[in-house]
Amino acid sequence: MKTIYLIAFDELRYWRRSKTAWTVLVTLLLISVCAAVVSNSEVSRRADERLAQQAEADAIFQAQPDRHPHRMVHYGHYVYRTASPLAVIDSGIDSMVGTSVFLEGHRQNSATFAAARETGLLARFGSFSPAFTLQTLLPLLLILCGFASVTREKENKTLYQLVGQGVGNSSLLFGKSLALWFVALLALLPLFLLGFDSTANEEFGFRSSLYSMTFGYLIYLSIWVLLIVSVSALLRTSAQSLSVLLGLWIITVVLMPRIASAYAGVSAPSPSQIETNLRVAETMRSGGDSHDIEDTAFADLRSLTLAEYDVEKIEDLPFNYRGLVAFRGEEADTEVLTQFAQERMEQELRQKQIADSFSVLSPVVAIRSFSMALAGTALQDHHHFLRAAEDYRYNMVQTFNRLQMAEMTLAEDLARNDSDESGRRTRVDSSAWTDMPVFELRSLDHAQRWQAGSNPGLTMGLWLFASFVLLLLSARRLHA
Amino acid sequence: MSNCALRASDLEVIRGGNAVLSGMSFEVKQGEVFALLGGNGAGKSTTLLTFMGLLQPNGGIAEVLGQSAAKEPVAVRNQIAYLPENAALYDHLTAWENLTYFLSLSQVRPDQASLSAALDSVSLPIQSRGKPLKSYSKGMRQKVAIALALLRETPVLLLDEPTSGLDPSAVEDFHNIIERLAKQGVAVLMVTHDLYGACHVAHRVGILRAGQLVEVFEADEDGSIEIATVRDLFLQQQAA
Amino acid sequence: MNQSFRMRQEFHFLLKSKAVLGVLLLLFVISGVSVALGLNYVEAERQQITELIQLDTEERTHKRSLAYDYGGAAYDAFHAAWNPPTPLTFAAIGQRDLNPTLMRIRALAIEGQIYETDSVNPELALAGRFDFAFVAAYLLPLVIIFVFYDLLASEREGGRLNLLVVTAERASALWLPRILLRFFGILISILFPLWVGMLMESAAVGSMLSASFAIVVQAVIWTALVLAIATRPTFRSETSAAVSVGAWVVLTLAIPIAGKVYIEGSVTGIKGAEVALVQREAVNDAWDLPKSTTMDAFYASHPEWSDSAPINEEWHWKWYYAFQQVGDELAADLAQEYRAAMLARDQLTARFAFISPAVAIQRQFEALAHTNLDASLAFEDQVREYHEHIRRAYYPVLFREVPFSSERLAQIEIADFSESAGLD
Repeated sequence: MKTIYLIAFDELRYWRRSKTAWTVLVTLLLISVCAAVVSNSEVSRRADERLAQQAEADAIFQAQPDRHPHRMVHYGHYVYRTASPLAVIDSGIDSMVGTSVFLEGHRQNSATFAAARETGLLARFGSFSPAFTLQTLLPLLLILCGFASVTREKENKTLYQLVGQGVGNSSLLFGKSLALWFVALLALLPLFLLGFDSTANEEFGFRSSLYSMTFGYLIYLSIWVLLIVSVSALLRTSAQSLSVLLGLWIITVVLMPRIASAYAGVSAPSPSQIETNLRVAETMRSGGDSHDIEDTAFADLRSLTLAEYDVEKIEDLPFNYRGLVAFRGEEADTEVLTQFAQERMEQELRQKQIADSFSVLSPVVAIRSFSMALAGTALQDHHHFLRAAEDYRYNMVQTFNRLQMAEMTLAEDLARNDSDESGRRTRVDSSAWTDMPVFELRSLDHAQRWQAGSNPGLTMGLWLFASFVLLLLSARRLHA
Repeated sequence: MSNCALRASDLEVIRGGNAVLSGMSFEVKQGEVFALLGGNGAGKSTTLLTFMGLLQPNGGIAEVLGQSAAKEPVAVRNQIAYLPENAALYDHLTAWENLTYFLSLSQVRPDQASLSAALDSVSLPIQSRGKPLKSYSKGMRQKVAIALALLRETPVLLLDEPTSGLDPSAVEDFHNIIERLAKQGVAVLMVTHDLYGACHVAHRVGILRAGQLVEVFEADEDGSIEIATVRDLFLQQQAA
Repeated sequence: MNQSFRMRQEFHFLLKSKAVLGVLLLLFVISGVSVALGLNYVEAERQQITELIQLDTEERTHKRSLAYDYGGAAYDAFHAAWNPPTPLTFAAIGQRDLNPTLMRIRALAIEGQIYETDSVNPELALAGRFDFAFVAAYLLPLVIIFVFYDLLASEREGGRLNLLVVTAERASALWLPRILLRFFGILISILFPLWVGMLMESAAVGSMLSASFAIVVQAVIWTALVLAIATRPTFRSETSAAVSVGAWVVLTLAIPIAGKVYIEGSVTGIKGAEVALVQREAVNDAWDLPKSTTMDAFYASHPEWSDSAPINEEWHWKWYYAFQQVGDELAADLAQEYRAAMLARDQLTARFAFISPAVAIQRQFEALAHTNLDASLAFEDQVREYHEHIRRAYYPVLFREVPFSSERLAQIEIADFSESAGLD
């Protein structure tokens, strides 16, 4: 054990004297600190923006005058997605999806206006977030630090000296790894502090997620450290080691994530939104038009209701039958809409699963997925937001439909367009809008995030094991 | 002097603030083998680089067949065949391929017969000629490199530590080739720290120390140099 | 003759350089895969468009058969609009997945409809597109680095450099064939799959030449850059690899990302959602306004209908369509601003293209493929024009208050989008 420390110390001392190593280290720290600062201001700006927008939307909604409740069903409401506190580390899909959903009756709108479209071409080049730095740039810098860690000793013939002094092969490699690992830790620190700061209120278990995430990055970086030292031990010259490691970096970091997502898109194509909309419309055709109480689709509802209340005509029902039709219509529509929405989400998750399976070929695919999941900025978090928005929508619409049932008679409702006076009779007091609870997105909790990240997490474990084994194997072959 | 192939006059080379060559002068005639003997850092390799125009001297001049190496490097190089230390060629290519490739660089298109003749004259085993150089011993690589030098048919041959790491029989073969070339009129400049080899093959031996030629020994009538004298001076210089 | 012998020898030499060949092969395969995936994407899009047109017609015919008034018929009649892929789309899909490409438009307020994008899987979108433009922007430079970084250093470190220089008739006889052959090897590896793809898409010769030229320029820039680094006499091969890759990181990752941060910071207040919100508020407010307010505003911009009969009822379709139009007019300035902001960002992006070849090549390809912002906005214009056409088709029956009949409805002919937009 002591030899390992000595070797690590020796390596660090070598870097201290080498200009290249200093350049790399300074760049590394500069990048991580910059990424932390930029990302922090960016995310908090966006969060403030959304809070303000949500407050504005709430204010406008609540300021609506007395109205016919169905007018409010069509007037609708906006809800905004609040950012996860860990978005400062990994903003995930944040810029790829819209931040708001318009909620109205009879429809489930999608989240439109993704920031990526508005940014234009540069949106796809990555983001200056700590996650991008750690996943993409840090391995490259580690490679530049460590590619020669063993080949240098071979080229200078100092390897034989070390071995001659009784340093075991594996001690040598572990020592080199330890030194490199120390650099990785250094880069991880700003990220951790930033996350620690932004999860200060410890809501929804984000603090625990931060710990898991940091642990995940430790594993990820350890994989790279072990791979780098192994390759350096297996090859004869520094030049060979560098080109192999750079090749590895290009394939696993630059290529694989894109190949994975392209393959997932091709092998499990999702129908276009329009096509889905058309299919929804087709399915809903049988549901009838819930604005029209004479629609034959509601004949059963009418006879059943009349029978239940034991009356002859709908005018004799103790409530506004038009409201009931609206209520039942919304119920039926929502069932269809939810089913299609569910299908779409499942399809997206299937695609994600296919893309994630490429983590067997690249640890970057694994850490991307793991990091997003723990940061609460992954696909499932978006789905969670969409579901919460839909629940809120359904609840809001049905509240208004119930008001339509209870607050006016059928005769009044049917006569609403006859004159200003009759119109006024069908309006309900605006306190109904102010009484609506405002939308509050409750994030998934830590256990759910952990579960979403468990598969890629497991793959990372396998990678760690495999690279550990590779290191041991290369220790045995060191002199071959 | 019309048959002067190589001439250094007052050569001065400064690298990193240190004088590597400081006022060195000598001449090598056509058909003459001149050996520069010296220890590490005496300026042997620098001398060769200067003649090949790969290094600009800070003072003095290095001439090849009357042309300044510094001013006409391209013309000069076309007159020179060079045998680098360790005979580094392409390891992944065979002897044939190495020769053809290098000759193509000097715009020479060799025919099979001349390639064979050259490899015969350095007595490279026939069965090895089609194998990549990876599998060669040091002496065999050396032979391929010499074959290349022969095929270039240049009037000047520069040799950098040609016999280091060769076994005795390979050294013997090598000396024979050099003598044959000299008889054909090629001017040979070799730098080496192999005292015995130098005395054996060279017509003149110069002793180089700290960038200066301290002494030149000439062969007597029967073509041999008194080894003991050279050795004494050489060792004395090394010790100083 | 000797020149050709030299070239043949160098070619032979290239064939023996396994690492270089391997990388060229890799580039060829990756370029091929990107083209195949691009073709697949375009094919799927074409199929979607065909299906959309068919489903769209069926749905509209069905709805029309149920119509009992003109206003309702117009309300239910969606019309498909689509932005067909061009023969080069497969090579640079760009932001096409985030921009609207397929939509169904009806006579209601356009601002509420025009920003509907297809819903993409955000996690797949995040990884970035694997299209030919990506290969050209990211991988081509890396391959060039790999092929050239140790051009000099490998010979020096192998102890062959002096021998090579002395043996060569002149320096150009040594390096030029070697550089040229590798350079053309790289070009062919990346371009061949592109050419095949373009032939399959029967692209015009002109665009093939422009695309190839863009690749050649990109390759020349990077080769020059890498050679400038690789020929530094003091650089070991590791140093020149590290410096080259560093340059790649700066030019391909750092500058575009910094550019993104800069652009998002300097052109702010870009709120597409606000356009939709203003339009929606206007439409909603109209319900509570006196009808004459809406109608006066409408007649001001559409004087040809101002002699239409006054509205006495609480509800009238012509009033409904009038306030939709007025909503659009109210949001028009904001929509213009939104567009201008996106264009301003695009202009800034163009500046970054000067300092980042990766941005430049992507822009170039997206322009050639008509997948850039200009093309997207041009499509938006076509859709707006089409919407205008649809809207106006219903106005005569609405504002002249023609009594409803299916025969009259059937006479309202609305051209196909392909006709309106002049597609083939």
